[in-house]
Amino acid sequence: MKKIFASTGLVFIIVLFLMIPIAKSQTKGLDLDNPIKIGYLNSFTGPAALGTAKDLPGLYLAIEEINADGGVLGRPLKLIPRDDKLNPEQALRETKDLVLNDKVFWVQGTLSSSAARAVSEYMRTQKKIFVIESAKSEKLTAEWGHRYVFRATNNAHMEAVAIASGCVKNFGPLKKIYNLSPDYEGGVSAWRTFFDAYKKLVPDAKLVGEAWPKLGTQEFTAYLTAILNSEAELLFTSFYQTDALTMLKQSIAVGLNGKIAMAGFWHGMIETVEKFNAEFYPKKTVANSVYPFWAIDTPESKIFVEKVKARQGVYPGYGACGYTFVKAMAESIKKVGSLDTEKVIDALEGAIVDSPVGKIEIRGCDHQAMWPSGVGLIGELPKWNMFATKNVILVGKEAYPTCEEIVKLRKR
Amino acid sequence: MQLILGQIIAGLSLGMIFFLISVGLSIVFGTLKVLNIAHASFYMLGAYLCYTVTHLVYKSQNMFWIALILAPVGVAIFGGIIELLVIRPMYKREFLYQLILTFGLIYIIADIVKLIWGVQFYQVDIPPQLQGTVQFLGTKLSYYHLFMIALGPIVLALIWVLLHKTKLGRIIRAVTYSRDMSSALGINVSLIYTVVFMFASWLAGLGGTLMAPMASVFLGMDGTVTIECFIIIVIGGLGSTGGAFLGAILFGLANSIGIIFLPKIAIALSFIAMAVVLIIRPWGLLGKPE
Repeated sequence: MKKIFASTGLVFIIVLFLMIPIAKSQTKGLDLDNPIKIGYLNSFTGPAALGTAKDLPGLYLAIEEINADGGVLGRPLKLIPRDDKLNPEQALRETKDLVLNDKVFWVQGTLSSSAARAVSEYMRTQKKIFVIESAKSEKLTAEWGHRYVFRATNNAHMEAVAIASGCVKNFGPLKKIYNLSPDYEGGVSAWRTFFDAYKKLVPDAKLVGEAWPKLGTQEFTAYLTAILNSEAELLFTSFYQTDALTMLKQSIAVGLNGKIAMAGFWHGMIETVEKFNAEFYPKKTVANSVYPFWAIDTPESKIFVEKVKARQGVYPGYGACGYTFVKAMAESIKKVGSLDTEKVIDALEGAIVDSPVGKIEIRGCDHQAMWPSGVGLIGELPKWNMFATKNVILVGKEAYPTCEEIVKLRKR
Repeated sequence: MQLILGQIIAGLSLGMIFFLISVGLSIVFGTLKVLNIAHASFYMLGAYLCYTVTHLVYKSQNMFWIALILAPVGVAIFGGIIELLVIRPMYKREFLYQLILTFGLIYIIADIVKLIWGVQFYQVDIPPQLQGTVQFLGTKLSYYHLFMIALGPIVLALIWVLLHKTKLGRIIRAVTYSRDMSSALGINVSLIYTVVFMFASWLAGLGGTLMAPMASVFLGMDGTVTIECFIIIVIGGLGSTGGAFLGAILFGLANSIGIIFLPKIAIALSFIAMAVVLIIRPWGLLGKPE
């Protein structure tokens, strides 16, 4: 027994020693350049790593462009990526390391809302800027918001409001709603926000059935047959990515696809729509996404998509938001003329910044970028040779809670 | 009424899928006395191999039939290697070590999958022969689901014949009954263990291959079925093949009928069923008390 522990310990120590030279050589390179460092947190392992792969190219592109343009205050920007493993503790550990050892100027990223909250609270005590990227809980910039936290993307609340309006616009006032959502905080709050917003538009709408399978369910058939045999007119689902595709497959198999109108929360995301084809896409479905580049006809957007595609061979997702915020940050630092966090925050508050989706306001009261949500009906886009949202409307500022509401929420 | 019938059929199809996935777990526990927590990882591997055969080797929907033969065999070979290298040294150790080891295997296999296939998720098409739906007792059912419902009893029969009608089966049952006695009688117990583990891996791989056209193939698809597998074999009785079959059907029906009557706690129903079984018959419905 002792032998095993001893040998395990030995191996561990050897590995530690092996790692030292690597760590050293890395810090050496950085000191020479004296760059402005950005800490980046996201999931590089596990199922969520795909989202990171769609996000990082945008950030690297922004940094490349800024550095090619002479950097910020004569110094280049440098991204330090870290794996938060979707875990609040891990995220906090990495953040502390980034702030204390790497001396980053700001931290950006996170997908898990609970990880984002842990990082946010820590950054508040350190008086350093934290820019949330893909974490969607609206509370992060509402109840839990503070001076040092920003969000580069839209949030779950406004997306639910946006998709509710998209449903009424495309399907008319359907009254009998069925909810099929994952049994976790995100799924429950998405449904609640959607239904509240929908009832404001269609006051006599009612819930005729609901089911709460767990995240990652691989057999939806029993749920789908129950929906097929119900009186539902509109199916709301907040299953996304792999779950959405599994559900689609099985709903085609049981003949549900296209029979009932559907509100597919996040079904318009690039990770999902790039798997669709003529036989395989959700019919009669209104979906939303953070960056529906196929529907945005501005030269800025086209150039951005081309650059990311050329760089990484992928279409951008959240990368558009990350790209925008890194640029906004660089502009603010330049404006202030120093790395004074307080002054940079003042400069960011209320700033109107350029983005691939047009001018975006970074709202002063809650530090939430007024990033829109693109809502449309899924169909064929011959020009792009893909199936994605058509006749997209960008729902923006009007879907966010007002500053007065935010103040009220924070007082509670 | 039509609603209930529809749900019963959907529940049966769900049950049959989970039978195919979980029966191997039960067999391994029965014979090797190892609780292989990583069993579902072999299921995931089967799904990925199915993708590889149908898309990378030669892209055709009909390649699914080839994959149905090749992918489970691939998983069985992988299982054999794992048994030889990792599990074998663990037989004499305490139960806890086996648990920690097989738990670690989940991460190792996940990383192997990530190295080979990356973080992308994949889609496999339903073979053309099984596309489409049929009207059955007032509800629509896809041919693919019928195919899976039919496969469950076939696999159960196959296992029964293997265990009860062949020489290998007799040896396996002897080893299951008493490892030391079989060893004393000149049976190569180590070899039998490897064969049983490979067979269980083959079953898990078969489950994964069959599920690939119906679900998405992605990293983490193992984690979502692990708990269900445990529920099923606990309900049916650890080590009992027929128990896994019964447990899977009960699990499927509890789930699909629960959706109608108790939607908010439908996913908890199978846990409740497990708790009830554990209180009344701790050795499971078809298991044997120690």
